[in-house]
Amino acid sequence: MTRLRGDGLRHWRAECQVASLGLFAMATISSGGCGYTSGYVPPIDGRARVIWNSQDSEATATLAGGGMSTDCQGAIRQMTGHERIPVDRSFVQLPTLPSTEPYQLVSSYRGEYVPRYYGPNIIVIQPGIAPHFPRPPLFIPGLGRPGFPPPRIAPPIAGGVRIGSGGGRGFGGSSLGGGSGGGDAGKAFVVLAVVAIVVMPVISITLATVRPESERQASQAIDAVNAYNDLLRNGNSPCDPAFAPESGGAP
Amino acid sequence: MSPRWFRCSATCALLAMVLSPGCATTQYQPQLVARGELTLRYDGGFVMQAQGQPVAQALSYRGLDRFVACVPEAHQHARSAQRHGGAAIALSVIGVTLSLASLGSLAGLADTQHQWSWLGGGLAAGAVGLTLSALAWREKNQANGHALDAMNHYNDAVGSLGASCQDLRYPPAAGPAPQASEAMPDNLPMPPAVSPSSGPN
Repeated sequence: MTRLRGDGLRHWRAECQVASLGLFAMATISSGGCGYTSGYVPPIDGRARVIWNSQDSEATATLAGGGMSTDCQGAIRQMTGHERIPVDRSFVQLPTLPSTEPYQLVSSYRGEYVPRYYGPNIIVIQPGIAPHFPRPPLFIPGLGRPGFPPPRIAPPIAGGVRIGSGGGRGFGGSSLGGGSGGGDAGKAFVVLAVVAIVVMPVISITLATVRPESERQASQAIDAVNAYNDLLRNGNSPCDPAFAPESGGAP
Repeated sequence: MSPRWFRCSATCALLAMVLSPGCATTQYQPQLVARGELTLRYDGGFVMQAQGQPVAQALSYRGLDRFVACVPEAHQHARSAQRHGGAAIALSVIGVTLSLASLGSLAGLADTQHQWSWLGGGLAAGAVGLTLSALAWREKNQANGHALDAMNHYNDAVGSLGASCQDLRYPPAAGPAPQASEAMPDNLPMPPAVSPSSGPN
């Protein structure tokens, strides 16, 4: 009898321990959320960037005012090999164009690339500190001009865009089920405890070793941004608004 | 305690490793990069590079704060990225260690006298380990977010315009900005003072 009462007390203490630790874990995790909320607002200057999407804690691309014609999308697909780009909290499906030759950048720049920006000359007043820009220098000269059409992303020729919501990854919670059979709660609790002890390290190791960001999405965003900026900087490219009226640029 | 449990846990751990998303890397190397511009690539984590040389990489982002030191906002984000990255690494190591140590409590199944002490201790260690690993997950997100913000602030003010913090000289503008030439002076004013205590977390 004394033995049974002692077992019950130990069960109760163990359950309390686990419950309190579980509550502690949940409170700790939920107190700050799992993501980072970025306060960065990209200036509308025509330079594509990889930014942090605070909604799903993923890297995503933003065109910062630039447009993307169908030809531009095709060129980016040729250059990167990716089928889609995560842009501004959605995905743009890149078209497969029946192009004869892969797009090639003109190797007109030897050595260092000197950026072309539009605005006043930048003078450093305080040595070692970058100046602050009340208005950002522009990389697409017509951007922001009255009458300059708003940028848009052309739908692909075949296949339909699909622009779905940005898919963040999450972990599904594992639920432990178990019924106590035959009134032997002690044995059932032992089984539950053993299952928990075995499962927790698996989840723990997974959380500790796996990257929180989607590697595929990050790679797609980075490649798209790098290729898009190269196309714009190269000049006379399908991503240049001056040569791609479809994208909303100058005719 | 049968060896079956150990086999099962080992199988689960291996499955978790195998089924986790495969490694994706960037395929395209940027060709036209300004002198001090930071560009990204992905190779098992974010890697920031300038002029073809790696500057910093996830999760520690060591060296990023020095590279972007001339842009106060970028500098603060870079320091936050390094701090959160270091915390993520430390929490991951401790979390995994505690979680694996909790498996030792299964030896209590053979010790009927102290079975509940063993199992209670194992559950406690496992729960703490799991909590720390979950916190590490959060810290990784914080580190990556701060690092991307640091890179973007730096490129906006310095890198994409052809300067660098080591040599803060800008090439001349290619032309005036539309409508900006009337309202803007020829030379830009000094930046506002930034309080060191107003940094991001």
